[in-house]
Amino acid sequence: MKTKATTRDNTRTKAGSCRGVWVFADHRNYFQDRVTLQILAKGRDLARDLETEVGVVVLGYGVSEFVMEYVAHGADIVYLIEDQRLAKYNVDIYTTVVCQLVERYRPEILLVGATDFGREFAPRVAKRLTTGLSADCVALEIDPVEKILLQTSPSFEGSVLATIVNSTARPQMATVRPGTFKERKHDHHRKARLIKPQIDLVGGTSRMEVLKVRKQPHRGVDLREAPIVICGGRGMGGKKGFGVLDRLGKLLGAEVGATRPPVSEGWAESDRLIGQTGRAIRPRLLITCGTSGAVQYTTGIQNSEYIIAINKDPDAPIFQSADFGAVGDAHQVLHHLIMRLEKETHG
Amino acid sequence: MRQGCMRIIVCIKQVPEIPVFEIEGGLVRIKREGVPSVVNPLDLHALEAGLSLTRQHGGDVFAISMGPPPCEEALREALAMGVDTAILISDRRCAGSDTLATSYVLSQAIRKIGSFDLVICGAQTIDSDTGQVGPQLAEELGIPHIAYVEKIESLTDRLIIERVCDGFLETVAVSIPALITVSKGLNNPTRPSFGGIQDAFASKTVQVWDLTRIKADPRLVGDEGSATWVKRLDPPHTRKKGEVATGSAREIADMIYQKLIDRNIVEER
Repeated sequence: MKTKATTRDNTRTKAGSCRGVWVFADHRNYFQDRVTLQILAKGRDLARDLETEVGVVVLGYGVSEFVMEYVAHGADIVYLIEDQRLAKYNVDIYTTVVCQLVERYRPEILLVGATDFGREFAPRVAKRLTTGLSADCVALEIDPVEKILLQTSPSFEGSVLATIVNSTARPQMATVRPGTFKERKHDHHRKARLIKPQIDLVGGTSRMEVLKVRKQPHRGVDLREAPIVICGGRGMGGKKGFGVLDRLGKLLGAEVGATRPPVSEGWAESDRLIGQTGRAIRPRLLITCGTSGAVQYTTGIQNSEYIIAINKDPDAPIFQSADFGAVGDAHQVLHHLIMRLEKETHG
Repeated sequence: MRQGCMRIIVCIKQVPEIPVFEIEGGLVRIKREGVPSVVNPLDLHALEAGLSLTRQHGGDVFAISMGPPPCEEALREALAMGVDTAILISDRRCAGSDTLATSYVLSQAIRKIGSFDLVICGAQTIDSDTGQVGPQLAEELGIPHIAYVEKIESLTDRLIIERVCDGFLETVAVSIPALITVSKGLNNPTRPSFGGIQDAFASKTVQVWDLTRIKADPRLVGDEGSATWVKRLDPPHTRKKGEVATGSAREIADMIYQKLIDRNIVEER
């Protein structure tokens, strides 16, 4: 096993003098996007192993409502910076603010949700701080001997898992896939310290201006938070096949997702895609139909509690990932299942 | 920015077409020797974006890449697509570079090229998947960046783009020089013409620069210059394979229905 002593000089934040597990609050899509709460839960485990506290960094304007949530979900300290200039997400200004906070308070670990924003923001912060960052982590642990963060990050679209470490540069940074960790129960008895640091917003100027922001319409619950998911693959054959999935979805109260081939063909919208970067799901039940089981997809469904797979091909790799597999034509099986469900619910 | 003087730098990466792994001493290793390579798919969109802008506004496109000598092939493909200059930064000391070190090397090469209006990168690669080099390169160069660009609206004294970020469609203006990372939806890369391919192999050459040429400090490069390193590689987590049933469609549907009851999704009647 290769050993390594890094000589990259990170004079600003020497390991050993840094304390605290920080989580960046990505609140823009809250209540549906719960990645911050999920990371706070993991943060508590990491902080316990390091005998330190969990801090949450909240930037924005009119965001104090989130503070209560973060405390109830595990934060010990809240760093709140409210300013009109922070009202819209802006990677330029946010980098400036967060880096100032890190240099002032010197956390040991900084975790950011691997949302689109997180994935363009965290690298900029890491570079300015001259520290290491691993992307899209699906696991985080504290090494019991070295007391450093072991970061498990997928490479090659999920074909391999890399365990990455950041030996000496601080803070140790990682972005975390939504749906990786489970949030704790809301505990309104928890207390925390609130800190409102004075930050120089560089006169409020930014080289970037967000001219217009429009929420893209999307139907229903975010796939990543859906308790029951039905996913269709190439085997569904076309839009009609997905119509069948929609029908089943209505009967079960499930969200319908898709793998890449149906999205490429236009049988399903791109916001239905499961398995690519950042689109991991963690439902109680996943019924996956006509999906072969490509690793890019199966990486994203690993956290499902129970997986039922239907595929015509008995050798399809998807069966390696299923708790219950059935060899058959998805259309016909679903047709019968829908009839049975309709019969049972309508007597 | 005067007409015809636009300088665009596109960063590309050569990646394995399909990942090949081997087990060595109980550990997983990525096999590179003898494995076919391609230009990272999103980088083709980045090249097309650069070429499209210079077709509109005039100017030059530089394609640069950091990698071992075989990566010259990827840069030839860029030349075949029509870029004006292709530069490979190749030096053994770059091996083991994480994104921190890679962005440093690329920035030194860009500093050697001189002034530029825009740097364009693919949003992420299909091997490391981090999406980090673009933003880190922008930070190293001291310029703003914007990721996941799906549409370039205008390029005058500012660049105005459209992009989707976490379900929000944003129109963003950024000052020049800037760095953008591009998504699939931006364009359809045109395949190199036969003439382009001929050109790429006959008259145009790929320049090869080492660390000395770009005045890069070796301590900030490779293993030494990286803040993260890969401790180990493992195959993806697999769950224990469950039962696989066969039967008629109706029989299977009944089995699934029973599972729905067992899992409390549906109530037993």
